[in-house]
This record gives sequence, C-alpha cells and structure tokens, in this order.
Amino acid sequence: MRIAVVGAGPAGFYATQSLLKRFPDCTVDLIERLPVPFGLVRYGVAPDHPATKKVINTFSAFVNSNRSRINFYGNVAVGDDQPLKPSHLKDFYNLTIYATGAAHPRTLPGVHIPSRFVYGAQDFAFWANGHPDIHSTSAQGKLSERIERDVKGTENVAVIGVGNVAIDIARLLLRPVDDLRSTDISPSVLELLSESPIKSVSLFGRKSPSGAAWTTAALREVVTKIPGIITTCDHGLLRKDMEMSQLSRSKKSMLKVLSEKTVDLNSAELHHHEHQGSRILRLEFLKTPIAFSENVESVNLRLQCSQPAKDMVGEHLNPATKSCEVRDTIESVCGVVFLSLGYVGGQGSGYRVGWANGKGAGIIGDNKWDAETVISSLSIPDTMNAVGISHWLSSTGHRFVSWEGWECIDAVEKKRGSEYGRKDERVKLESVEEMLQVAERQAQNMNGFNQQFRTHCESRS
Amino acid sequence: MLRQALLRTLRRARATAAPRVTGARSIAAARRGVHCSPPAAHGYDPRRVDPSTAIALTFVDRDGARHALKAPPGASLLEVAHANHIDLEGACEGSLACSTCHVYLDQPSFDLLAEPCDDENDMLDLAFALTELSRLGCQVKMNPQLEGMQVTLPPATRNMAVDGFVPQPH
Repeated sequence: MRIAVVGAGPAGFYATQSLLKRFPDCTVDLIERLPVPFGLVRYGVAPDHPATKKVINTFSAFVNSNRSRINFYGNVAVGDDQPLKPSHLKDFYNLTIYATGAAHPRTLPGVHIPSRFVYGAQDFAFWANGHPDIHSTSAQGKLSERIERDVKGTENVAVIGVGNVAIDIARLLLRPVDDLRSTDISPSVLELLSESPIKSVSLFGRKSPSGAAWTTAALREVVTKIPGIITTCDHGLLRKDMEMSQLSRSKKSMLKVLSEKTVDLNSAELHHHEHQGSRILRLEFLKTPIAFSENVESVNLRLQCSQPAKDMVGEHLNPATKSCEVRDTIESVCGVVFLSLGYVGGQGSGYRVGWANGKGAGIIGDNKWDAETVISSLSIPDTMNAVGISHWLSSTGHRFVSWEGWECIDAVEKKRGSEYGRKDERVKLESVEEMLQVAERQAQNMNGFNQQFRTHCESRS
Repeated sequence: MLRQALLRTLRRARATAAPRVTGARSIAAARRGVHCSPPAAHGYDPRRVDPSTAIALTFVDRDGARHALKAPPGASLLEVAHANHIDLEGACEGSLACSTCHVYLDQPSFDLLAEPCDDENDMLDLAFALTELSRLGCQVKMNPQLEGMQVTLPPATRNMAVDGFVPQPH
C-alpha cells in the first residue's frame, strides 16, 4: 500500500508517523513544494527560538529509522496549476493526505493596503528565516529588497495583531543584534538589523488585553527575558480586565505578567526610558486600523479607538459587538507596518491534517494530536497496485530532492554556518537553484560510485 | 579508492535494506514496527539501573495498558519513558519550549512535588486535556519519595464521542 503525504511540515511528519503505525504494510511518499523539509519549523519559527526547532531532530531520526518505508520528494509542487495535479496522485496512490498548511493570511476587510511600507507577517518570517520565496520577483520588484529598503533606517514599526507572530517580529527587531549572531537568521537580515536605528515597535489589537492571542510564554519571554527592551501598556485597561470573573487560568497568568512586568503608558518611568534611548515595545489595545496613507518616506496609520461600555465588564472581549463604543481616532506615523492577523485554515481538498484541516493556528505539538485523530479513523481500500510518483518524475525529467539530497544540503548549510562563525547553527541556502545543485551533485556522486562499483565487479568476474 | 567505494556502497545497501537501529533498540523497534522518538539527550540504559536505588513507578499508556518500571533517581519522566519505549514525545528535548511531554500524575505524588515554575505553567496552558494533576514529563525528576508513582498519558486523539468529529475527504 502506498500513501502520499503532501507537505513536509510538522503536520506532514506527524501524519507520516501515524500512518506508519496504523498501516504496518504501507509506504509513505512525503511530497514537498520546497527542496527542503520541515515547513514552518524551518521557515516560520523565529530564528532566536532554537529549542522550538529541536523537533527537527525527532523528525529526522524518525525518517532515518524508517528509511525503507518513507521516501522524501522535495521540489515537487502539487496543484491544479502545477505539472503534478491532485488527479495524478489519485492514480499513483491508494490514499493522499494533504498537510499543506494555511497559506492565506487574514487581511483587513475594507481597508486599502498601500503597495509600499505594508507587508505581511509571513513576509517578515520568511525574510528573517531565508525562505526562497522571499527572493522571488513581482511587478513591484524583489520582495526581500523591498522589505530591506523600507525597514532600513526606520525608527518606528507598527504590527497589526497581538499574537505570538506579532511578538516574534517585535522581539527580533528590538533585541540587541549581537544576541542574534549565533542563531540561524539570514546573514543579510542580520547585517541590516545591526545598523537599524529602530526605537519602538507598536503592536495594535482590536480587543482588550484579555483578548490578546499571544501565549503567556511568548509574552513572558519578550517582557522579562530580553535585555534592552522596555514594554509598556495601559495599566488602567489592564485593571478593568483583571476584574473580570470568568477568566481562564492562562488568561489570568498572562494579565499578571502584563501588570507586574510592564511599565504603565503614563508613568514617569516610561519617559525616563524613552529619554535614555531604550527600545520600547508598545502594546496597544482596543485600536482597530481603518486607513493607511502613504508618504514619501513613511506611512500614516489611522486607528479607531474603542472603549468597553461601562456596564459591560466581562463581556467586552470583542469590540465588534455592541459592548464597545467608538471613542475617537488616532494617527500613527510608521516607517513600516506588518499585518499579523493570522491565517485562514481548513482550506484544500482531500483528507487534510494540521493547519490545512484546522483553524490555521496552534503550536507544533497540536499537529500530532490532529494527525492521530484523522488517521486513526481512516480505512483504505487496498484494491489498487499503487506505483507512486517516481515513474512520473523520471518520465517528465522533473528535478527533485531525495532525503539523501536534503542531507547534503543540510551538511552544506552547517558547514557555511561554522565558516560564518556560528557555533551550532547553520547559514541556510536561500535559492532553490543552489539547493537543487547541491542535491544533484550528491546524486551524481552516488551514480559515480555505483558505476565504479559495477566496473570493478565486471573486471573481477 | 575503489575499495572505499565498494565499502561505502555495501554500507549504503545494508543501511537501506533494514532500518538503521542497533542493539536492544532494534529489537524493540522491530517489534513495534515504527520508531518515533530519538534517544533522549541524557537518557540512561534501563538494563543498568542500580536495583538498590531504583524507584518503582507505573506508566499507564494511551490504551490504558500499565507498564511497571524501575527508574534511577534524578531521571526525568521523559527520560524514563524514552528508555522504556513508552510513546511520550519530547519535541523540544526537555527545554521547556513545547508541551508534548504532558502527563497526569497521581494526587499524592503531585502534592509531593514542588510547584511548577512559571515557564512550565505557561507551556502547560498550551497542552491538550489539561487537568489539575497535569505536569510536563521533562520537569518531573525521580526521587525516592515518589516510590509507587502512577503516571498516565493523556488521550492521543480528540474525543469523537464528545464533539462528533469524523474526518471526511473534502
């Protein structure tokens, strides 16, 4: 029995694990759009979170212990607009599982987004993590160059959104750049940040503090563990939220961190820090962006401020409902704005796992649970003698990367990391062509050995 | 050169013919069919646990099966699980950056332990099926007071009877 898993991110790996356990005679072909595996673990997790990326060791050990049952095919995109279509997979496999993630970021409905100065949070993550897509060219130019042009020299950055990704952006922009040198951050980004005159990052959320989407862990890290960042928010608002009775355990501890470890917006202490030139992280609540207007060197962000109605304590989590009244609007001038509003999950066809199946949010470990749930209830009619895609790949001459090819890319990246002066971290290859060449060199060497071996055997017989 | 090529090809052939596992692990892996977790960074050999100091505990796995084990003092529950091939994942290898090693303890053992630190509590907030007796396996270290402790793994899947979830091809 042969099963295809499309997408080699965490959802794809956990799905493969579950499949191998549930169907003892199956083989899984892990098909990935990029030449390299691990998806958002490699390209979404912030570079200064190496512990979160350690799950790569688990995934790699899993593949290496089950080499005869797992084939990795990197650089093979599946889609109706691609050479390899979902209908092909139906012919080649007994079953196809889609673990393609949530590619569509949420936007601001009804708000015109200027083509300069405003980017998606994913653009930032891909830029910092050296994702090949960031170097692709569009009508407006190369995305990486546009971000670099706008981030360079900017003093104030705004992030729309109050989740973990928004905190990642703020932390990476504000933390002392020397702390980032030994991470796997893209060297060009590191260079740019080392000359950054950045003074503040503001995070804007439309809900009150208790409605923030970040986890306490992410908040606690940026507020208490990173030297050189002063975090501020409106403590008056916090007090109102903390009076609410039906708060969960995690919301309570999150609000506790905010009230004990941040500086009040109106305190003399904040002015003192500003005066001293500290980098400030501003957490702004009950503010909804309504318009952007472009200037020559910056963008004006217009926000609508709301306030919870007096008699609605405990119900003012969502200002979209009547419990909030609009107070006034403010304007903020920023060098660059990142939209970090999350992703639309649950899109795609076929059997789906991970963000493609769920809500497009959550932590790496959630995918294991989701994969187990979906795969434990599947049954496969083993009627067809499935051939897989290897034949299709060779007949079309499609360039792909095998697991051994990835291991070569991995080795090259680690070597570059040590040459760059990083003790444990890599410098990633950022171009698809370069990755393919490294992998193909490996394949050629293998062929060379095989050829030599054959000649050797023939000469002896 | 040719000799090297020959050896390498042979080694490769052998490596691809059978899963690359050695010693006692290979037997366990072969029996279970799938090997999911890498050895814990600071794991121990369960065959070399000193019986005079070993602490008895029971793991109740996701199917309800009970595993009576002996563990050395100082080992974390994550290490004990890995050393005994119990399916407890440690995605961040015990660095408090995930909640995949979430377990339930029995009440007396839970009460004997020091309160979880802030970082552990923050990660527990993200765990599935959190209870009053939840801890992260990587943070609970064996000590003689815990003799007879019972560790239960949380359910591996969503409770379909409760939320009626059935996967469908879309």
